Amino acid sequence: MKTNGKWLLGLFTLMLSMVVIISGCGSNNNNGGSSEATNGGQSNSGSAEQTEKPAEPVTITYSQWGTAEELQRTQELLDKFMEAYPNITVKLEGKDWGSYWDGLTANAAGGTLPDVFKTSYAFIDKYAELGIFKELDGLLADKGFELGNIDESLLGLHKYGGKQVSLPIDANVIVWYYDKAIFADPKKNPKNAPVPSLEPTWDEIIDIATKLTLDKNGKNPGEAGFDGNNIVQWGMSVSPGSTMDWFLEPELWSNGAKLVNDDGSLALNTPEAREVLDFFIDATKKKINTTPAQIEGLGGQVNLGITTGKVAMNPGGNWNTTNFKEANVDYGITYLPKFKENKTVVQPAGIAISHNTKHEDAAYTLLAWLAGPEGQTELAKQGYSIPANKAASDAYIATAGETNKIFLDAQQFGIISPFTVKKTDLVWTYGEQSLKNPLAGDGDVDAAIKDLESKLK
Amino acid sequence: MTTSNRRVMKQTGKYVLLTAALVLFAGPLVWMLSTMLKTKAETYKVPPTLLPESLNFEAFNRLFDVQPLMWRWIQNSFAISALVVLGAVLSSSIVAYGFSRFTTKYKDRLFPIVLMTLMIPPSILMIPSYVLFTKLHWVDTWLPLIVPAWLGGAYYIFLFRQFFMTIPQELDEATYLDGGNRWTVFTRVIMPLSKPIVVTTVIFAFVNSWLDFLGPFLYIKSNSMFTLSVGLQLLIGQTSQDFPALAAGAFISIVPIGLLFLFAQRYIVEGVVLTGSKG
Amino acid sequence: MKSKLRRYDTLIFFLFISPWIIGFSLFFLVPFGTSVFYAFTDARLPGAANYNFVGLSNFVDMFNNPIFSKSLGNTAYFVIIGVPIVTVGMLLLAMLLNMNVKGIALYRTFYYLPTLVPIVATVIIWRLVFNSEFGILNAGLSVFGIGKIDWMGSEGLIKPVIILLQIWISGSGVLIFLAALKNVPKHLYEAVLIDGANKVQSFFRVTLPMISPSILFVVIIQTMYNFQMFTEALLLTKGGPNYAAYTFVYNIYKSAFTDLKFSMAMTQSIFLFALISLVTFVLMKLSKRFVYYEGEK
Repeated sequence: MKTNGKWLLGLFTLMLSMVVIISGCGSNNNNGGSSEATNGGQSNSGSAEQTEKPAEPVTITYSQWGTAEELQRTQELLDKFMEAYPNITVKLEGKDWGSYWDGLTANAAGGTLPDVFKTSYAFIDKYAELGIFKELDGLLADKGFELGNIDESLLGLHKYGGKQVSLPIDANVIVWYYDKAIFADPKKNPKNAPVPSLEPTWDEIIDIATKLTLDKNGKNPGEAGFDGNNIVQWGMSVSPGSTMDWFLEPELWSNGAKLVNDDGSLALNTPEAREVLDFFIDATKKKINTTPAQIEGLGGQVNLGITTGKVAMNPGGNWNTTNFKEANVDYGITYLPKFKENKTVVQPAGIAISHNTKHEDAAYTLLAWLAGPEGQTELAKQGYSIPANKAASDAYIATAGETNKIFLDAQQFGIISPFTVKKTDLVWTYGEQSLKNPLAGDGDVDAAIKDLESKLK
Repeated sequence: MTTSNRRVMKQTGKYVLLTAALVLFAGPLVWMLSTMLKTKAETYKVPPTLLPESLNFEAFNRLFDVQPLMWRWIQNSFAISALVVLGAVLSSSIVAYGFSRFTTKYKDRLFPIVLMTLMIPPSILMIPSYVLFTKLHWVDTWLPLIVPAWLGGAYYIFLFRQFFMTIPQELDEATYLDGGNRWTVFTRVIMPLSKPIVVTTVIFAFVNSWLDFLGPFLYIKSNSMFTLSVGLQLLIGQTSQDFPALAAGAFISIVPIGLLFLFAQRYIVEGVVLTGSKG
Repeated sequence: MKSKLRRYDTLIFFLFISPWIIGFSLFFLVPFGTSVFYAFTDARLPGAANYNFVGLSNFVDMFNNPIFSKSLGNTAYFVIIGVPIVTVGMLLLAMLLNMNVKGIALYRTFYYLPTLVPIVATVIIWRLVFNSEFGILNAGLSVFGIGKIDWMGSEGLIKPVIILLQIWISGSGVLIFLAALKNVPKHLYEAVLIDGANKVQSFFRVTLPMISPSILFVVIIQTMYNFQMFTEALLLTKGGPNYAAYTFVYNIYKSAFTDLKFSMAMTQSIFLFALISLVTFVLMKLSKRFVYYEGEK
């Protein structure tokens, strides 16, 4: 009786826990398997253009990534939506890019996915495998959504296994920005470097950047007495190792190289590719470009370099104009500098509905509004994002004006390089760790490339 | 060298070392205050200046503009910490009473298990706990942060028990003679005498809950439910260029605990020493 | 009659400790059982309906993963090198603050403040101080002619930076040592001085043995902390540069939430538990030789 007591207690609790686990495994609503279309039971008959308005008040969550300024733009958009549909309240959950995807996984694991959420074409495969998206084909057909307004290539980037899992809402491009104030100020631009041309070559950019990089005595890199330890202004700021998808890849293509081959293996060992890598290593070594440490010091985001007033040129997306306006920067835009040909990436973000949302009607209403003519026109009117829906192109040109027409024109130079799970991992998990420092001249590029090659197998 | 000279040198040496230590500990805090009061442009000056040009509180405005939930997070942290403190005091004292006053063989076998749980690193249970909470549908609520406190914390149980054992049993006997039972002994005799431990538990439980990052980070997903710790993390991601705002956020998170420290310094010191000597 | 009372008493006992029993079962046994269970499956998300039992293959994969070795190495560094450094640092600081100097009380307020700073705020402060371009540390060093050091971006420097951070928030350890130092009976020092020992010898012969229980306590706490380091890795550099700050627990988190492999995360958790138990056991055994409790010899 003595020893039995304690053992009995222990055994009892152990059994209790096993029961809890095993019973939990069987019955729960998280499907690890493929997503199923559950729209069969729609009682609403689809009327041609309009979306149905649910009768009672309902609250749904919408989640996306972004800086504080970008999220404020989204809130304005959502406010307009709620004006049009007063019985639907949308709660915005904004995260930063880094936490957003881990958070989505946690949500999927915990069964607490937001009803509607923003997707990136680069993460479709990875998350579709988990089955978190609601298949939209049936829903879109039933409700009569006008898919013809969206370019087939954009739609294709948001499909999984041939099924539409998310709808593109913007067709953002990457361009090159410069700070007009720095160019115009003789103190900051003593050699009177000209602003970059519309389709600059790298030779041109390096020349400008050299003239605009100043140490505390006003000297440029290459001049006698240049003090690389006391740079007060940088001509340009790029970080190929940490921006593989939106900067390095188009630059590789610009030189006739690639990031990944069609079979998914790493393509960085070709002569053309190494030319590109060596070019950036050289520029950073010559102090014409910021080092990763310096980028960290400036806040860590290469595309926001010119908001600090210490960087003359950096690459960025068209959506960054909202950050620049917020920081009162007088910015100019050109295409990304080219090696041989003009190239850029078109990065369509999209929105999706969670596979187990409890408010499918309201969620669909939001989805259709955001991706359809009304929401896209409102988005266009803000003048920051480029709508994916052609029905809103006129509104975009009308608002954005001539200066921003470049964003629409740049799309012709977009590379077509879809993302697989492996490529997603390369860009966002392994790539940055291995390549960031070597591509700035600090470390062994060959070793890093070998390392990545083996990880991609 | 004369003895008095040597003594002066030794004294100076001591002060030098002490000042160096002071710089190490207070320096980063001073830098935080300095950054907080600068304008954004000032923080990008090369070389960096220690003192801001003027006392500039814009950073706080920007902080609350950019992150309107800041105030909400502070309230959340307070609410959660208060509930945790209440739970910790109540449940730990009750359990400790069980482990101190009864004579049963189970007590002696089970208490070592309580102590053993102190040694278990929480992070190994991090992922499976997450799984458990998803099954219970407690994710994105405050329950994972609060309920464990109401089910006894090994550390506080230990503290209470050690203290209870110093209370003479004669007092118990007296209460029994008056017609009391186990429960009345607890409420009328033991607890009123245990004020010091209660205070220590309140302070430690509050501080630990306020400072907790991992828990809220894993289990709370909606921005409006965040505690201050996790909210600050969101801030880092969303306002990485704005150094004064970041410093302001850090400052705000320190203020409540700083005030607590000022008023309750003595208890904190006693509590830490207590653990160290009994450890 | 007596045994009935005793059984009744036992029942009341269990009633009193029931909160703890519920808590222990729910928050320890269940998670522990779950992790053991899932470690042998290939479930990607918890509660996934379609998982298979894969025996020991998770463990095999775990050991073969180069990132696993890297993360284990990092954590080992923090435990084997970091803990002694931080412990010695705490002791030195305690001894410094134990001196009888005028105005010592002022100095004694500051060392404990950093422990009250939430870790996220500490990280913000650290990033501001160690900022290679605009931080105060590099500015201070430049006064001595030392060039800008890239603290957060160098593989070799990031770990020392984290160790420095630990020293900064080590106020509790300093406090414990301070109390222990004050509790060393003065007559022991006098006795040793009579024997002709100098300051250094009296430190090793009297001070160290007398405070050894506190040293053990602090070492164990520090070891546990470093084995589980996560927040610093996440917030300072997201595990970089080049995996230099990628701790073991950070790897567990990443396996679960980025690689979407919860069962692998469970496997890693179990391994960590085994490792920590082993090290703690060894520490306790060693302590019997080195720790001197009052009342002995």
